[in-house]
Amino acid sequence: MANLNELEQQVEELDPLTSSIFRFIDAFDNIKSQALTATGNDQDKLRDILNVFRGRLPDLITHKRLRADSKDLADTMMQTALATRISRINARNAALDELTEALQTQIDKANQDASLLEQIKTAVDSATKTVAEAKAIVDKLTATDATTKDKLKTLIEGLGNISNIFSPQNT
Amino acid sequence: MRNPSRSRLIAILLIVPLWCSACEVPDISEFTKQSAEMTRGIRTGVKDTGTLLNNAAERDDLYSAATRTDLRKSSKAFQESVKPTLAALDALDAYLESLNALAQANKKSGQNAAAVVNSVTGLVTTVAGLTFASTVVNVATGLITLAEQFRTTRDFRKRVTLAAEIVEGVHPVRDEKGKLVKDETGQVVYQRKCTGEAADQITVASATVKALMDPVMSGLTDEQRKALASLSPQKRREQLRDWNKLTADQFGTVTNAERTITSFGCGVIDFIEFNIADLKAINLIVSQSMLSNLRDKNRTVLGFYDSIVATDRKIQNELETILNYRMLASLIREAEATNGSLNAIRDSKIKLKEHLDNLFILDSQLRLDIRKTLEDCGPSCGEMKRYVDFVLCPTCETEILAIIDAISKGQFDTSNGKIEPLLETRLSVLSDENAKYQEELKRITPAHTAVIAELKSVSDKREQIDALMNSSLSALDAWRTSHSNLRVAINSKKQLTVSSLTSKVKEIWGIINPEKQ
Repeated sequence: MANLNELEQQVEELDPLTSSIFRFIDAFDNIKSQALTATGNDQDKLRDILNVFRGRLPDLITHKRLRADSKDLADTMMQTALATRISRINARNAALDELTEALQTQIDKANQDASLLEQIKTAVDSATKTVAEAKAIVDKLTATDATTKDKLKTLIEGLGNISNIFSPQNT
Repeated sequence: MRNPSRSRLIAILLIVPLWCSACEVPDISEFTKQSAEMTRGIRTGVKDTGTLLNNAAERDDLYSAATRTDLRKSSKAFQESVKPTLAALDALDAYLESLNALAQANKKSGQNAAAVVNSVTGLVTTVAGLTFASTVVNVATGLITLAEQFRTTRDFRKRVTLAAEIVEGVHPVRDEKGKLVKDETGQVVYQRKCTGEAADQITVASATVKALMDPVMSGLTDEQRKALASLSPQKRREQLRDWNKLTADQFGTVTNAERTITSFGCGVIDFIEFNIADLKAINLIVSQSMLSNLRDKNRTVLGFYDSIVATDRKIQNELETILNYRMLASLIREAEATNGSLNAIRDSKIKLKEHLDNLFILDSQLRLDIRKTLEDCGPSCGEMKRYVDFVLCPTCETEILAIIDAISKGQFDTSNGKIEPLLETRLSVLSDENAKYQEELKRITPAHTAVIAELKSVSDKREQIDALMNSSLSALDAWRTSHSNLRVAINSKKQLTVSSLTSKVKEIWGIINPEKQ
């Protein structure tokens, strides 16, 4: 059986105008034999050789059978190569999924941090609002008013909560 | 009276210097933007490859019904197989967006801190009658800013460092005692092992795992699946072995295969690159098949057109040679009549024979006719038949000149007087044939042009997807470099540059939208 380089040479030498049908049959038989055993890069090369072979076939009725057979073989080889590539991707997908999950964990943590920062912004707004409210209440402190005192107490507790957001223990 | 808020500020004052060594977060907005454009471009390539498969499956003029059924199945399998790649691209976008959010927050932390301190001091002043000196307020503002910046910087650095192993596929180097190795600037040294044969070895090992695990997993109950869901892959395998779903041999095989996969430490970018390499191959396989079948289907139009062109070219060549012969014969007569250079005339007669030789190669009937005419001419044509039959060679100039010298001017003119009408007749026949071929060529040109346009369209799409895949691979390499620069930027306060990624992204979009270039 001819090796791929010899086969490539054999097909290159075929001429649609001058080569007899026997030269085409010999070359095609060799391609078919190689197709049974070729793997990996050899499959790719064999597909290219078959492609050249098909291009060299003369447009003669006597070559119709050979043309049909070579097309069938080319279609089969295309399907096999396609299935191989898809299964290569599928095989690695479990590992890729694991990595994507690990990355997602980092994303979630970073988003959590970003969300905490958003809370800080809210707290800042809240503190500003509280000052305005406190000022209004303190203005009323001339009389000993139990309700006002309670409100004031609540405000001061609120102030404590706002400050807590900035304490290092909460990061 | 002691104010609790003031105490807290003082506590922060004491603690913050201990945390904050380098509160620098680089601006990654450009990296985020370019990365999103890169992933968008890669998604386009994935989509185009899927479309190519669908198109092939629809071509009943190129493939048999059985082949198209298989192609449709492959197309579905393809769409499923690329989902994790698309999810990984989404994750890359989400990752940089989340980092960007942190970076932006870090930038605004000064404003936030100032606002909160102003509010707090205002409240304390109003409620408790305590007034902070402006220096205290300024210090407090600065400290809270630092505290907030520290947290975001620390988070940022932590996220980027951890993600580096996941996305870039780099890992810190440790010495024999397990201690991190650092370079002369104090930076942790990282290494990449995901090179060379990694893709093929990982693919083989992954296929081994899949072949063993897929049947096992599909035979599990819902409860068992639920129990496995939260476990790590290693624990999952152990659990399956404990449930007797995996034999000890199978467990060993899967563990070894997983060890091979993890030994390379490849990252998300590497896996996306592996998949793009396979997508590139899929594009070439399917496009080439479509092109071959298209050529085969249109072989008569293509062959007929080529034959007409070739035959007509041959006719035109013969016409040209006849015209050149007539022109040269006339020039020789003119030179002889005007006493031109003898050597030039002899040389021209050699050239005239070359024209005749070419005509005889192109037209064997003409050769027979001319030889017969010269034979019939007899002594009136002298040695002209020998002149016509002589085979020119690089070393036989003396011999041909001897024959030429043996032919008198009268014999030469008589011979040509008999040859030229034969050429004239041939010229007329060839001109008619040329006109017919030109007409035929005109008739089949639209069909031929349509076939060539279709071939070109498939071929152009193949080249476009191939170029897009190549640029995507380069862009992913540039992304990895940019992320590595980001690691350096955080730790060394250097500015982050993404110019290489930007250029690759431009290349990708130039391929997708060439008209906008």
